[in-house]
Amino acid sequence: MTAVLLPIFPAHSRLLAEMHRICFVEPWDEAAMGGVLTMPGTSGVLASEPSHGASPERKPAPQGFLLWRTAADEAEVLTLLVLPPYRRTGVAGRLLDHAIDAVRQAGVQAFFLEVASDNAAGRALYSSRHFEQVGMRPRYYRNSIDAIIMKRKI
Amino acid sequence: MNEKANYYLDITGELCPMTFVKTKLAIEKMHTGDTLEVRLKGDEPLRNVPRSVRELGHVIVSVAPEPGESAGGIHRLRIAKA
Repeated sequence: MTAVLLPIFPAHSRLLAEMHRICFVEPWDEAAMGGVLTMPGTSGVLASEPSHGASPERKPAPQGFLLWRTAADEAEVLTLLVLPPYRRTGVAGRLLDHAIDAVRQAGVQAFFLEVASDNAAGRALYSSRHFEQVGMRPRYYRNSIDAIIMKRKI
Repeated sequence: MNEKANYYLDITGELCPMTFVKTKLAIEKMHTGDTLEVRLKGDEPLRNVPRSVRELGHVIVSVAPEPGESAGGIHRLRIAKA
């Protein structure tokens, strides 16, 4: 079933922090997530199961989310995740396409992101959306993995 | 200038955007006029944290590398809460 995309608000901090904890070794806790969501320029989109697939016993499950920040004519992806059961179903691509449309409407000229050099799935996704490598931060992540800086003109 | 800050925060192990978020959360616990010393590493937080703190209306009192550190090394940032 196709996910529905919903706007994210600071009230979602707890849910997003729980999802982040499932996906990352250095998760953002609820206070940190609240801090991200209330930074000037932060926006977000949440992918959820459609409610018609749910029942009183089974509420629609969140599948993934993407947060980005816009400042003047530039934007950057802050975090993107898809929960394990929903990977390889196109959720990340839909989230990213949504964000690209949103920043375009906001007048953004360039969209940036950082991705771990060993994150093959992430890099393939970004390349498929025409993000190109423009730099690298050596040993940026705690396990000494390089960060690849990517950019897409909007 | 050499007076000790009221609060201290080490974000040398944090990545963007947590560098700014942890700083913001620390400032929120302080009172007006209190000072916070932030220890940070690398040019990304050095560029972004002071700018974002200023955008919140607080004052950057000083930024200086720790002794022996290069331009992109560990810095001490002193913030006064507005």
